[in-house]
Amino acid sequence: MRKMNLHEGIPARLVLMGCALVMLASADLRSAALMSGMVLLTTLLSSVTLSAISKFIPKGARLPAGVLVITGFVSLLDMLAQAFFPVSANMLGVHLAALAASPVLFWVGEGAEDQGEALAVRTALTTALFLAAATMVCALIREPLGCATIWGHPIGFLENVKIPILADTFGGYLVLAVVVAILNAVTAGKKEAAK
Amino acid sequence: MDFVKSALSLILVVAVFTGAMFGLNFYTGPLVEANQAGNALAPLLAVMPEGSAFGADALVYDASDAAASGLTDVAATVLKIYREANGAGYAVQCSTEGNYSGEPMSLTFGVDAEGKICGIQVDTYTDSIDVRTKDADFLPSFVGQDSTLADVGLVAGCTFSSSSIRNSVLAAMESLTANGLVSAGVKTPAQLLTELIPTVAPGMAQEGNLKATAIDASGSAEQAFQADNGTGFAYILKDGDNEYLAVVNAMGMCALYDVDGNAVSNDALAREAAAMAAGTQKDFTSAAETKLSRMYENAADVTPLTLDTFGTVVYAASFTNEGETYYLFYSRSVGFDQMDVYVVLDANGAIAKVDAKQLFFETDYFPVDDTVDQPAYKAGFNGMTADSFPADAGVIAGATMTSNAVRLAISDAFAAFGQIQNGGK
Amino acid sequence: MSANVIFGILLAGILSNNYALVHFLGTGTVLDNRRPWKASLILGLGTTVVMVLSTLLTWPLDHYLLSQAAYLQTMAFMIVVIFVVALLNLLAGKLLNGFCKADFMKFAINGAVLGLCIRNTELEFGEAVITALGVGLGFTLALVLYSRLREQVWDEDAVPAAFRGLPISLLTAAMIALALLALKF
Repeated sequence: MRKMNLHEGIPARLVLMGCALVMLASADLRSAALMSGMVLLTTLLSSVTLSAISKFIPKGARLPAGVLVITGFVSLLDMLAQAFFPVSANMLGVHLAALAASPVLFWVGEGAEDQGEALAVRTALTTALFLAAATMVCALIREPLGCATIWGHPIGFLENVKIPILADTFGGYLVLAVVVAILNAVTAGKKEAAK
Repeated sequence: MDFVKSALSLILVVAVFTGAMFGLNFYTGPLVEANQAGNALAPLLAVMPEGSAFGADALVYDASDAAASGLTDVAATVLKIYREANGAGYAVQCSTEGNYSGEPMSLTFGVDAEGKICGIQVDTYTDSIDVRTKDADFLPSFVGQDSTLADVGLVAGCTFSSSSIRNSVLAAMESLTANGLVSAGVKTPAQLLTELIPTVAPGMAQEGNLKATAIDASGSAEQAFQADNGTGFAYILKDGDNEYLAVVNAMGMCALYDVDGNAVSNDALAREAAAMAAGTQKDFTSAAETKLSRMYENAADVTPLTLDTFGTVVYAASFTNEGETYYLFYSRSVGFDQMDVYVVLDANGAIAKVDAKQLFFETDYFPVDDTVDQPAYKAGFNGMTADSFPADAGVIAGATMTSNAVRLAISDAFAAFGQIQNGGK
Repeated sequence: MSANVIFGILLAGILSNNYALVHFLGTGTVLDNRRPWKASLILGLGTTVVMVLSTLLTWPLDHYLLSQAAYLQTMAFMIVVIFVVALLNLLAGKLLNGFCKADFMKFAINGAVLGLCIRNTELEFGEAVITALGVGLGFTLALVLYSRLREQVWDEDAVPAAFRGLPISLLTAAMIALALLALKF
């Protein structure tokens, strides 16, 4: 399994690669939920598929094959999202399709080519659930404080104190930075205790 | 070999996923199309706060293909009618007629399941003065109204625009009720009587729209209106359980009507209405007689007449000039601005003279002031009678409102003369 | 298209419409870049070439072939991007992979390129190509900026422990994004 070291600290590389996903989807809980679901299903399906077919694909074609498998699953899931979750899909817009070029998915897919199916599934699940948690936590902060809504439903008492910029690009960076910093501080404390 | 194997494996991957997408598209394609159609109509939800979505089949009526809708008697100003997907009501897009600028405005309003307006917005505004800034409460006053629009008034200073918008919504609501899409509201007697005023007292209206200001009512009067052009007053009077409309012209004559528009006789109410009007009615005698002395230096035996007409004539008098009898009619018709038109008819009812205090206003906008020979224009009416008054007499291109006002003044003068001839007071 | 319009589109792509810093497309690639600024510049320019070439191919593909099969857009565009990147890798592999110490194939197939191709289908052809150039230059600017920040500005000791690494990168990007939003025109 790709080393996660979740109990020792944030897998910085993972968050770095997935930060764009987290920030763009966390402006609203609905888009966060959809993006989390998309990432989870895409990583699972593409990991299993790539793990299964990697032995049949020549080394030189592995990267494009991996990219195309991920793109295929993203396209299929995008079609389902547009049909059944149009509101959330519209919020995400082109980012749903651009998920096909996400470095996180490439990283998981690349690892899956060298792993067995079971390990590939575990890695995919762990990665996706971690990113989903990060996205939902950021969304739980940004949507109420930035838009005074929860899941699109207005919250009256927050209307006068909302900070609209939190729902924008700046808010995405700021909230994720603070969340990661808090987690860094917490896990640093655990590291110290473990020592 | 490796290259061929690589190419084949990539082609296979692409083919498998393309096939999967092709198959999935049969299932999701129609759903996506419906969602996109709904998204295109999502702005309609701005006028339907309780609505949630408009489906692909939301369009109930489209003016460009009216026959396909199955609806009948839909007003010409209605452009489109959409049904909300979950039974919350209808959104209607319509245009206006009779704008100040002549260019139609477009607006959208929502009607809930109970037949009440739940939202309204003006999409394009073409008149020079924005009624929305003139009176910020005008559009909100539509919300909660049923098809009668009982509590929607007009905006002073933007009467054309506000009445255009009101009439457009009214016509659209009537179309909805006529086709059973929403239930009709019940008009109150006061509302019915108010709507009667332009019909029975056309001098207080312009192009069918009441141009009057609400004033304080007293006594039996529940509501009182004063014509903006000074041609008279209208009172909604209550007598027991019944309500009546009393219109009083500038000469003090009163006419009474019931809710059905029938003329009724009630001396007490008529006297009360006349008395209320007399206390406030402007006296045009001095202005008229001064003008007469300028039009006819030798005018004599000037005898004011009291006529039972409710047009734009505010003063009438007979006089003699060089042994001939003439009749002066002073009209307060409205063109681009308030006008004072004086029409003199001879004993046979033919026009002897037409004059006006000011024919053209806002000369920057109407260069006709330099191109129209005003004395010749006025003299052009001489000799015309009620029977020989052509449909296009006196029309000035580029100054339609002015020429229409002059024509209206002349028509009202003919009507007043007709009453004199028929033994009217 | 007048020179003013072209200049405006280019400037927007570089600044207020910067894909990596404002639209979260390719952000991971930019923040994850630890190469020297010269290598970053070359990689950025290489990615710009990929963006322009991809737009030149994907725009007509979308308008003339995919109009009845919009669901194939992502797959088709990805195939084109892979083809373009592979071609460039073949032609300039020594510079891109050797000097820059990068796997250009993995570097250039990023969300900014794919997202740009998809968004450009809504524009006219000429506008799309100019936008691709502007966005590519903006991506390059973001890469070089972060590279220089890492080399010159970020003093690990000056940053609180909890904010070292990713948080300070994100906060820096936040400030830059805020400044760029103010330039929106």
